[in-house]
Amino acid sequence: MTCQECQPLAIDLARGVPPFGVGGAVQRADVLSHVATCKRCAQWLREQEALSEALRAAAEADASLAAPPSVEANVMAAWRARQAQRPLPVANADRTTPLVATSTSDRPGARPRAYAKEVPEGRTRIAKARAFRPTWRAGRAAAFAVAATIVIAALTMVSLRWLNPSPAVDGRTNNAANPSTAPAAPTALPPMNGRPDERAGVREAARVTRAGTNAAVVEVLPDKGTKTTKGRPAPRGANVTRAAHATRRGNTTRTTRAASVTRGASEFSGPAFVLLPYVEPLRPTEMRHIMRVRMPRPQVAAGGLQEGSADDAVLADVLVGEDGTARAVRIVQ
Amino acid sequence: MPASLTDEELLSAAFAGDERAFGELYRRWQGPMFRFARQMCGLDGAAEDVVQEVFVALIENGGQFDPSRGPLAAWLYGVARYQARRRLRADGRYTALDEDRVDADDDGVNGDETYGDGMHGDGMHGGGMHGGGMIRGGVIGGVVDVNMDVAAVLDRRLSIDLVHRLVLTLPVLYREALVLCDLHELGYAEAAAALGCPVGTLRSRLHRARALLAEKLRTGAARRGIA
Repeated sequence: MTCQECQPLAIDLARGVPPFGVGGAVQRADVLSHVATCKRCAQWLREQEALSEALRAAAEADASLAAPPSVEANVMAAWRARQAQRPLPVANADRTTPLVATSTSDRPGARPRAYAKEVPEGRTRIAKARAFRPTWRAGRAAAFAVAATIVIAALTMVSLRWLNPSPAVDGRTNNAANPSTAPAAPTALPPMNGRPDERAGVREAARVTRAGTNAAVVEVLPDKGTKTTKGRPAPRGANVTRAAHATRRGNTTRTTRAASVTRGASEFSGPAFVLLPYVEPLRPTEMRHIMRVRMPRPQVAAGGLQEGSADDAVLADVLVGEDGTARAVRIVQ
Repeated sequence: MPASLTDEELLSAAFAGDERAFGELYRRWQGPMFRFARQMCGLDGAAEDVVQEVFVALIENGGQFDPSRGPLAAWLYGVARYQARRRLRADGRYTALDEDRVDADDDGVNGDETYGDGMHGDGMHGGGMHGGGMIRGGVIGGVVDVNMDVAAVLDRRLSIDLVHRLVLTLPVLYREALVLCDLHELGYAEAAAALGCPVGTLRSRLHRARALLAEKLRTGAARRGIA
């Protein structure tokens, strides 16, 4: 007998089961004779005997384990409900079994496993909890789909911003392109450093969002409350169709109108923005808004942006970041 | 209800409408089903669920039970095995069934995770130990012997709790065979019927399970310096 033949039989020998129980005397003798001459198999047999003893002790320790009474109550309720549902009349079946919702155990929050419902005919029927269980696989798949959609959307936004940068809105770029343009003093444009919607005279705001970019162009006319949407240079010079939503508010009426405007890239070309001092530059992924405002010319001159002392106003574009802080300005006319 | 009635006779009487027969059947088998599920899953709550599922399945499908295809015990163990696997799969604790991957799984379960709780867990400090006085502070006392074997470890009456924990680390295929044959003391034919495999396959799985268990005991003892 080889070791390979001996070891499986040694397990049976250690467990005391057939073929060594009855009629296995020959095999038993063979195993024992091999074990007597093979140290490795002798150790194997000794280990298996010890293991059998330990497993028997474990089985004896578990012998008193039983399901709690609540499980029996649930099972018997399910049994009675099932019997009441049987088409043929059966003995000992209670046809007036009330509504029973069996639960797995007495633990709080335990999921019901079986239900017995009363139906109008006074009979009962049982429905396994399987029908009531949430479909965890479907839930997991839905969660995965939602997460994938969010990730794809985020990647799309980032890539579009990267592909369509705002050429005239980055103050650092503008400074590099116009080194002769001195930045304005911080006190020159105080109204631009506040939140746009907090400024006096700003009554309405119109927003234009162009597909592929996050920039919005807004013109604010502080006196009349009217406004016009303006575009912004298209990065690649192509015509851009925009939807402009303008809102006019009167004393008692409110009107919303939308216009689709097609503009050429040249229409939006103009002087570069000048970065305002003492403000943080825009982050590459930050949402940007351009607000067109009418500023008093002396105020503009005080900021060093334009000469002049006349009382008329100057149209200017203010670049506003996500936090509502003005970051850069350019004089339109 | 006479206790001498066989399972099949009780089942027939139950499906003829005798509630007492079904109750007797439940009381006869709820314990083994509960123990089997607990030994497979390691949790009381899971075992309760499995027991209930087994008997709900008996209520729904017991009418079609065919005694010629095997004893009722094998059918009940088969259902319990299926439900335990479902539970393990749902809990993410289902060890690979593919025998080709068993060796890889063994590497995983032989780590500290396997023995950490078993050797130092609370179970070792309580009444789970046999041969009191062997455990001090969660570590088995005695002289460290690198050449110790499983028998030496078990001669020191290692805790039953540790045996249960190590059984739970076995791959499910082997765990089933070990639990049915050694903890429930089913015969090879009955266990093979419950598992739906030939007797030879069952014996092979049992052989592998016991070898793995011995290896885990030996490795765990060596890592902890137990002799």
